[in-house]
Amino acid sequence: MGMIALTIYWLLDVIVNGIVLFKNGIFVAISLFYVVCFLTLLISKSIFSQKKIYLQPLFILAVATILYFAAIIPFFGLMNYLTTNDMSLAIKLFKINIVAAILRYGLVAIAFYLYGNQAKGVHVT
Amino acid sequence: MLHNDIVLTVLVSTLLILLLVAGVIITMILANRRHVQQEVKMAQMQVEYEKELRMVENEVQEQVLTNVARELHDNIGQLLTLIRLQLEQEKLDNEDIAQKLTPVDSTLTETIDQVRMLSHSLNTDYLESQGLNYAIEKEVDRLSKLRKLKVHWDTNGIEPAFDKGKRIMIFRMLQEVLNNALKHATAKNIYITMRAGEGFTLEIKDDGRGFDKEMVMSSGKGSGLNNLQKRAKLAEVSLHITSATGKGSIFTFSES
Repeated sequence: MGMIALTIYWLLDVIVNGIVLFKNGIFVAISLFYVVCFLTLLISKSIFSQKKIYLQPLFILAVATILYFAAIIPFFGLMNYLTTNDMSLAIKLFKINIVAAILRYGLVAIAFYLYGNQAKGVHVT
Repeated sequence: MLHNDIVLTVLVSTLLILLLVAGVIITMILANRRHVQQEVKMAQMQVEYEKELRMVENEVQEQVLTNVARELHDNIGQLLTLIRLQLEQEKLDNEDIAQKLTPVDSTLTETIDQVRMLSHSLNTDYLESQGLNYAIEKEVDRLSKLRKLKVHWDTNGIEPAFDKGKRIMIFRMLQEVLNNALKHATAKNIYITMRAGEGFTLEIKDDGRGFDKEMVMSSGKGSGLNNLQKRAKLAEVSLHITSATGKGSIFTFSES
């Protein structure tokens, strides 16, 4: 619901103000929303799970999402300021996004690997 | 804002956020680990509790069987012997009916014999002093005298080095398998083989009608088999059951 509301807000903002500037506020809000949602998911998983959570694909996937969105919040919050005043610095700091994305998709790959292994294990027994 | 200030602000805030998130994640992993350890401990306690419960059940059952055995031997056995003595007296007093009483006397003698053997089979006190080989031999004798089937007994003569509790459990499981063979399998022959020394194997094979193990277990009629598996687990021996419809069955208890 929150995600839908934020997307609608972003669409309305684009329609009204155009897409000249990066929508900092909405992007940060969406990132925070993701972080909070996935943290809630992690907490519920860690409380009720009877297995080791760090070996569960859903946990790894949630960690990947949280780490990515948490890491890019400061940089994307300053995106408009940077692109307007110092483009070279914006390009330099964009590396944060690249590193965070590599970390995120690395973890996603691990999650898929674990999921595949678990599915195979279930099939064998 | 200076170039370096911006870089520092962005990097420090990113690192702080990441540290915060990492802290939360590590806390959750630790909480989960504690939760899992607690669950494992609970499961172990449950297993221990069930084991204790089954042990107590077995002990109670053994006590009941010992009491029944004593009653059979000391009370019913004595009464039957008394009847036999009275019968003998009657035969001496009335020689004309002595001939008629001969079959009664022989049936009574057989009954006394059966009661004595049944009492012996239920009482496991002698398992400690005489051992499993002797107990199985006596059980084979008892079953053979029923004349319902042929029991073939083969042993290497070595007494397995088990404590009394384990011997009783193995002996009771053997009795259960033999009883099943008598009641359900309609077998003509039962082959009991025991090998002890290096490892332990007790095999009970019959040429009865056999059963489809999977079907019996899935239809919910396999409570006897389930019970056997549980008792084998409690006695710390493995039980392997091989059977097929029309091909008899083999029960193998083993310990490596």
